[in-house]
Amino acid sequence: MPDLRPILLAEDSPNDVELIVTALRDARLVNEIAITHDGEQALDWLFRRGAHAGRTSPEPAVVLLDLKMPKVDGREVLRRIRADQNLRLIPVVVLTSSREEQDLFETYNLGANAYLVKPVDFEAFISAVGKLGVFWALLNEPPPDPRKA
Amino acid sequence: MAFSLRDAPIRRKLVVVIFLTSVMAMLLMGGTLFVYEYMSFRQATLAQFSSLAKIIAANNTAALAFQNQEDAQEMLGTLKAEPLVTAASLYREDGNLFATYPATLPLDAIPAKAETRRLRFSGTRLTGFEPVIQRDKHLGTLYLHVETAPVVARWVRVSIVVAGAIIAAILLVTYLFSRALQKRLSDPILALANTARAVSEHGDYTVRATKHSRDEVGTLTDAFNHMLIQIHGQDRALRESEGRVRAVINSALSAVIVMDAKGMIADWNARAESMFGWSRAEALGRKLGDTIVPARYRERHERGMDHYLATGDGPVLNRSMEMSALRRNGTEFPVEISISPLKTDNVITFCGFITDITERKRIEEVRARLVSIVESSEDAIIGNTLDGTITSWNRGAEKIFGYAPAEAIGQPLSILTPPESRENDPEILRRISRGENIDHFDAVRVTKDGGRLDVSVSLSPIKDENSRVVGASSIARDITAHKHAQEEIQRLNQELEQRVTQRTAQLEAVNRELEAFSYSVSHDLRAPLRHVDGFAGLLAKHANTTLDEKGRRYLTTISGAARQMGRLIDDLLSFSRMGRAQIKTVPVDQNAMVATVIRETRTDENVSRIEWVVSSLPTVQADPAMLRQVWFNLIDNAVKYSGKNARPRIEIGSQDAQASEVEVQGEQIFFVRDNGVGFDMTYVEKLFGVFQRLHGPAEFEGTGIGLANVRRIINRHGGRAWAEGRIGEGATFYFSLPTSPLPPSSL
Repeated sequence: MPDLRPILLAEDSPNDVELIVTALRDARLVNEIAITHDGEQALDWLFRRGAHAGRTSPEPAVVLLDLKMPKVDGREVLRRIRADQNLRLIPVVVLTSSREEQDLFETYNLGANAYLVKPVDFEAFISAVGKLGVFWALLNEPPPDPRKA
Repeated sequence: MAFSLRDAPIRRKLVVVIFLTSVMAMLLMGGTLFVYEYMSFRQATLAQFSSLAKIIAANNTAALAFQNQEDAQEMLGTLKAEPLVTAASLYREDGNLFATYPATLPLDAIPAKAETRRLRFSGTRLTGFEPVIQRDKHLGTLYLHVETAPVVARWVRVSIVVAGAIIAAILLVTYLFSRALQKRLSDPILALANTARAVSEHGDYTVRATKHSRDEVGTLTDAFNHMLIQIHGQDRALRESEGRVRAVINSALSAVIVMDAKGMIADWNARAESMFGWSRAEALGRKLGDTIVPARYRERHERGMDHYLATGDGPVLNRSMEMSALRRNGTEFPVEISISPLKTDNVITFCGFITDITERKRIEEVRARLVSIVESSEDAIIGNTLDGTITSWNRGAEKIFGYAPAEAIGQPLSILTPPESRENDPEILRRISRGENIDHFDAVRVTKDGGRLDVSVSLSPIKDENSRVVGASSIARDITAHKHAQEEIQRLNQELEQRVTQRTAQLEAVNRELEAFSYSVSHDLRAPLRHVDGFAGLLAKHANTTLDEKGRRYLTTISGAARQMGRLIDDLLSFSRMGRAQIKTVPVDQNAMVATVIRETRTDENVSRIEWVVSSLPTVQADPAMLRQVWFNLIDNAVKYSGKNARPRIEIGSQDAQASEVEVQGEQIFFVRDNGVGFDMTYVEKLFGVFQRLHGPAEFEGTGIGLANVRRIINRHGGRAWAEGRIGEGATFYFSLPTSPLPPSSL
């Protein structure tokens, strides 16, 4: 399936990673899920540097971004993505526990494409993340890869 | 006679004078004529008898020459024809008697010898000698003795008769004439006299006497008329002068009263009339002591007058005194009086000038009061001239600056000014002299002992009656203490501000921390919960077949607890947000809002059961989202807690503040009443606490944040929230909103 682009997940909590991955898999998504545990790793992955210098996979179909992460937080990652000529069109969905107005305002202002408050309820969580994954990874037509064009 | 003539009427006088004058003239003339006639008669007689003597002598020449006595005798005998010749004699050349006539004549009746004496009178007797000469030859001498007395007597008789007749006739004529004349003379005089009487009787100086002639009476009439003119002029001048004096006296602002030595009022001017209430007519002739002297002074008044009359000395005379005077209506008032004794023609009168000084006294009182105010003032009140010389100095000034009045008055104001600010003084005085007020400027002043004072000074110009600035008054208040207090206040203010700044910073820090905490709660506390529920869910899915009933119940409990905690956290966050969110008040139609909320809380289960009683609600000023939250929470509670009643009834309405037990002006009260389970009033305050509940979750679900939110929102709108209830009888929840909303607080 050469058309399947990877999903980049930036999430510091391994529990959340597991739950999100479970939810995505439950939704029968087969896309590669690149997992990074902080902003720095996510940026390294995106900019193919450091540990991910040799990454050959295409640009992600969507970036699932936690806001609160060690080292470089989600906002900074979003800012860098939107500032980069090649990456700026990639859809970014913010996954967070915060319902604070300020966070909503700030992240939309930085160019987030969607904002999901992680539900506490397990069923709701699985359902929400699954639907989100299906939409962004399958239904949504991603912007063309600038390097391929 | 002489006396009676003096008082006799002038016409009689004239008649008498003319008559007497005529008589005198007549007598004089008659006498003169008589003497003259008598002399002429004697001359004629002498001449007659001289001629006779010569004739006799000539006739006897021959007799003598011939010495013929007979002839001589005969010749002499012819003298018989002349009876007046009583004796005659002829003497010879040698002087001896030759012949006599009559021949029987006694010898002693004739001279014995011839003499040379010629014939002459001696009394009525005419005697003398006549020589008998023939051709220059002296022959002898003739002597004649003529007795003229009978002739004279007869002549005198005739003369007297004639003269008397003439005089009588003349006098008669004179009398008649004088009577006619005196009328012409006395009538003008009498007319003059009548005029004079008329003038003096009527005091009419315009009358004039008629001039009838240009004689002395005419002159007199002229003089009289002239005199009348002069008198008239003088009288008029006198009247005018007196009128002027009277007018002056009447227009005098002082009462002018003249009193005689007996104490009787002799004059009383218009001002006296108005001042004392007695008219001039009423006052004249009364005793001064009975009119204007108050009863308690009358005795002294009498004594004083007696003393003056006895000694000519009066302590109250010729100077001004203040005393009380009495009006006719019995009221007394203060007067200034000066009495001068007037002595004219040895008659003493007293002239009193009396001025009503009620107003002056009042002004003096006001002035005294003002003076005492100035004196008692704690502030320094200083008067000074425009050149800065101190003219008055009150006790406050003495107290503040240390100079006694005697030390300060006359000194320049600059003694109070510190050297460095003396250059301002002339400018201040210039502004004052332009009539400006200078209010409350702070200045430093120097006291007598050299100390410095902070004072607040106000200066205002002092003007004379022509509004000319003649000086300044300055009021200085010692504000050293005030200044210190002000500095202290300023210092405290600064401190306070600093503290406020510190506290604000602290609060801001706390606020930031709280925000961070909220954020942390929302983000970090929820994550593990999510994980608990998430993994419990995964476990349930994963081990669904291997777990027994008990295991599955445990997992359900874990999930339930995690979700409950999630709800608690969400509620807590919303409560926190409610406290921090901005309030934007707009007019809110509560009727529409309540209707919407009721619709939302309706469920299939309760829709038909609940009886809604909703009154019309007023529009209020509030934040609509927040107010909606309030109504929602209260109505939701009512639905919830009345749910177990067979016939739930929910009443929504508003009431006046006055009808409420908790009476506060200027607020509107709203309530939601249900007939549900109610509550115990002991725990009423717990209702509004965060997560405070009176019922367990098994009875009624809920976190216990709703009423806490209601109270917080209402408080932030400036209102109050409270509740009444009884167990089993339902509950009423009230909230109030101010009719004039407070500025949104940050509670």
